[in-house]
Amino acid sequence: MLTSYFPIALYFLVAVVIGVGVLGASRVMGPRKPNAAKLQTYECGVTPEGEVGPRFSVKFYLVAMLFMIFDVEAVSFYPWAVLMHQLRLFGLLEMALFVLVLGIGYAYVWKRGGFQWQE
Amino acid sequence: MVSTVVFWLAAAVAIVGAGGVLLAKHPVHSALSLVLNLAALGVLFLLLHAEFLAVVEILVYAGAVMVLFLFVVTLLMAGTKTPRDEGRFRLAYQYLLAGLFGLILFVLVAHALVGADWMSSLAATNAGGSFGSIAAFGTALFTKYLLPFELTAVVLLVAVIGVIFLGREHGATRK
Amino acid sequence: MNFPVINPLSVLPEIILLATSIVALFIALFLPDRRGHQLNYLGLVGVLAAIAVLPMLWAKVEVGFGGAIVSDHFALAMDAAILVSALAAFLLGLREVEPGADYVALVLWAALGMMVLTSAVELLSIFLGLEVLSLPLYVLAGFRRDRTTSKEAAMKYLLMGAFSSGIFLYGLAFLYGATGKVSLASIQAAILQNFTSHPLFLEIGAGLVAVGLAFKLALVPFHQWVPDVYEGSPTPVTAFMSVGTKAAAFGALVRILTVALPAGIVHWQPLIAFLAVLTLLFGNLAALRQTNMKRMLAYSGIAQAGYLVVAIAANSQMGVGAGMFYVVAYAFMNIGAFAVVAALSGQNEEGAEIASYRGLAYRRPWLAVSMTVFLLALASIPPLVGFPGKFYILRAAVSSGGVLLAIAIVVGTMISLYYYLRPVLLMFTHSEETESPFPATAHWTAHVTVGVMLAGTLVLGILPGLLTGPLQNAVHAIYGL
Repeated sequence: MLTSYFPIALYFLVAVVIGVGVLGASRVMGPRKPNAAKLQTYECGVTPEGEVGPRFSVKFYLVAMLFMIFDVEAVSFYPWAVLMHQLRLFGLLEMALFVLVLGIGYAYVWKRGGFQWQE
Repeated sequence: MVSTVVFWLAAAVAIVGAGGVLLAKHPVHSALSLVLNLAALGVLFLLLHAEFLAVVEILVYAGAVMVLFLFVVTLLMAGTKTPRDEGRFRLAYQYLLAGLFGLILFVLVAHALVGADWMSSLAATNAGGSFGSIAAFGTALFTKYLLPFELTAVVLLVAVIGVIFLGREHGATRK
Repeated sequence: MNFPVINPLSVLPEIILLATSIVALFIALFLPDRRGHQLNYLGLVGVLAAIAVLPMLWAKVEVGFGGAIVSDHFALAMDAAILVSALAAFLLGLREVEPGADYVALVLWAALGMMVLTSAVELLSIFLGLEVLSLPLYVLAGFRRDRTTSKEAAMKYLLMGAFSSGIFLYGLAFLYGATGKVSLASIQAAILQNFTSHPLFLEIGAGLVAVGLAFKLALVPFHQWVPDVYEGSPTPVTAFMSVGTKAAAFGALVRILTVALPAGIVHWQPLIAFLAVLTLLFGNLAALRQTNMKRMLAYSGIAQAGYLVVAIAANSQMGVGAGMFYVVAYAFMNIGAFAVVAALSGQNEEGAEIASYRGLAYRRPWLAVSMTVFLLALASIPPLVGFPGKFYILRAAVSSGGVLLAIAIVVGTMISLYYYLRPVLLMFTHSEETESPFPATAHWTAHVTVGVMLAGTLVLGILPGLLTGPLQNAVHAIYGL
């Protein structure tokens, strides 16, 4: 059974090698001359006072939540795809209901600008 | 034979990942170690013939949930200068409690392992044949557990609408 | 492949609510932002349609989804209480929350989850029912995002709720682990035939299930979130969740504990009785000190949950019937009280302080008299609906030998007289102030709600027999599984 997963393992390996390779290569070959001014938070040329971090929009959080919800939805398709032929019309209908329920949510998010960065 | 090698490799990676979560100084490194740990767990699930769990572990946990974790970590750290903020996020008696619960868990697991009937457990694992496979899981999900499946769609829909209501910038659309 | 028999009739009210919510969201796609007020009436129509099919379904027990859910008399009776509270959420919502498609859909889903929780007879569906109930309520509690108290309510409710869901699920896992079954009927059969892996697992499972639902029912000591959440949430949402959640959690407790886990074998009874006594004493004592109407009603709600749980602790058919009567009674009197609070408050909760009720009877006689009736009913003064409600519970407790429980009820009721009567006296005290803190008029829907609840409180108080007959059927239905 495991042998059927060999291509996935290979793919995983290639992905890791490329990722590590690219990061490693830039670390080895790229010039690195940090100084205090470079590492400071950019504040229109004014020297920042107190604790300053980078700005981070709450919208990332919204994106992550939506991604997770639709990811769970996508996972539900997986067993259905495997069984599609055995489940016949019954399976098609139950999946249609599932998709309808979530599809209306998707359309609503779209309409309310949930996928837009700027309001 | 191959599966034994894969098991030891995955187990080692899982332990390294779990150790990384605890020991990394930077929270982002902790989160990334957790990805490693979850990926290794996915492989272990695969070895147990729990294919669907393996897929969920990789796609949802190592994928989506970790993205959320990383965003939250970044969000919480956005205002701090250095990540190793001298115990700012430490709870009272943290080490004591962690040690205590770890010990309890260890005793429980050790007790279960010592008392386990290995041969019959092994037989039970192999008896099902396709038990835990995606086809078997899907058959149960789409026939016997159809109602929970459709209710899951409603739960996800509630989550979508709730997120969009609470996460929207206040006042932007409510004028 | 064996396809299960779905039988749409078994989930007809649920289907109506889901379809209404989807239509509401669909219409919202074509409306400009914030122009969804009329959708509130759509939600109203959906709930009324669901109520309308209940008598039609009463004729016959319907089993659906291969035995995962049943529509028996017990489920239908609980559905009625839940739908009435959903009705209140729509009727009262027009002024305070600026309802849009999101409000309509969230209320409908919460009601859907409550109905699933009372009619599901399979562990997974029960748990998902609880989730479908809880998630929309977390959002609804924080619906007034411009108000800090509302945000605080949402946060507290989410944290405590997520925690309690986890405990509940853990309990279900133990029940599954002990019996290897997911349907309540098979679990009961396995227990009766002694096919369980370890008796201790059953006890732990029953305990965790009870504690998980005790959070939702607001039993002491799992009640700390209640006052803040009830006070911070918009009043229509408070009215809805205080009644609907209790009806749903009561239904699940009855189905899981009294029916599936026979008390002679699994010893959950002392735990429930202990929680009931604690809740009765503490809830009533804490209500004495409140100065805010919504907080007072929150603590009163805790105490009322205590009476309800006594009905479960009695562990008899009589107890279940008494509990069901009390759920309906509580729906009328509690929603009525919150409806008056909502009618007296505009956008910003002016009606919340008890002190501002002074002299109300001379300015707003209709609302003051209604409030008096609801408070007296909550204090179980005859001939209002609270009296037969509490009488049935008392009788069930005594006949199953729970003398201590009966004493706790009497003591709790005596304490409660003080805090229920205080606002009544205030309302009829002449005040020199001519400035009223309340808005001059209320939305007509608020008056309708007050009127309907008043009618229920009076009619069922005088003629409780109207309800006890059908409820007797419901009790037979649930024990005849």
